[in-house]
Amino acid sequence: MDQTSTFLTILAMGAVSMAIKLAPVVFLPGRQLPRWLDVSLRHLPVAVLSAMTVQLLAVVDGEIDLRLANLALWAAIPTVICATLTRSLFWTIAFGMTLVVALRWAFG
Amino acid sequence: MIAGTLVTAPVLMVYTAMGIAFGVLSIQAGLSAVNTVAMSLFVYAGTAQLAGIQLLAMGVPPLSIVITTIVINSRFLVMASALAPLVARFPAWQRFLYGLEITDATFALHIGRYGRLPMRKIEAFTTNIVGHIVWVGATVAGVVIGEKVTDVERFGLDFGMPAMFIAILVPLIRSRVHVIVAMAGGAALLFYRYLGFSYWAILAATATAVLAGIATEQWTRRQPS
Repeated sequence: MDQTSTFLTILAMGAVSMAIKLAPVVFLPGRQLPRWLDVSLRHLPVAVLSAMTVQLLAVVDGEIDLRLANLALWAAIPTVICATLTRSLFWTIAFGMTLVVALRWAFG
Repeated sequence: MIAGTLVTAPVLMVYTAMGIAFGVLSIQAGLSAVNTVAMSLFVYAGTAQLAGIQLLAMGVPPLSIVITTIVINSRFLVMASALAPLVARFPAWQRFLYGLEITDATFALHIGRYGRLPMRKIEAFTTNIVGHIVWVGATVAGVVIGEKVTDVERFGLDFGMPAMFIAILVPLIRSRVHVIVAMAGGAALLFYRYLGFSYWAILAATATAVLAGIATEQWTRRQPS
């Protein structure tokens, strides 16, 4: 595909992405939500964040990778402990990234 | 404004790491510099962008790429629905602007920070706008260094996002029900992936975890403790 068609494809990707993000915040407020949806919304943040975290850590190139060689996956355990102890966004990210670099340097 | 930027600082760190990684990978996949930056400007969703450059490099037809984008980004319907109550009092045009800037990172940050409290408007919008600027800026940096750096994993850039999710998820877990929802979300993701779901796995796992949460609440309510 030439770069112009690529650009047009990117614009279309942008349009659908924006529409998906916009629709709920523009149209949901002010409406009486059905009870099941209201109850679901309380669990949504934890549910979607845990699913995405596991996806980022345990799925490598589309395949589940629970091997010891998947260093990022195992680095997540000390990172969870760090998050529990510090409750700090900054220190958890800094600790996690440093740990992964160190592990990959040592064992990679 | 300054408070908003400070609150966002860790998120900006992640954006910088991921934006650079994306820029490098996109140039290596054969996209032009302009298209790489356009992707960060208009699509503004890391996973969809990474999938997008791979599909474009493979010469997949545009319609298939757009459909894949919809599938990957369908999780934002869920996230935006959870954010909707926080911005319910904003006028419609502000909700529109807010919606444009939703990302995994701002979702996580705003849900973690504002919870059931009213959202601090200026702080939230500053987060969004500064975040988008840094994302595009980091992409430009990635484009520039894309020819020299080939191995983004060596610098731990790929671990920024999961580390941020962990940092935000941990304080959100305040009860046994939350623990069950989190564990169900992770386990279900692996289960659906194992079954061969690809991009739908996140939505399916989220739905499963929500159901697990509701079921646990019902069950504990019936148990006299």
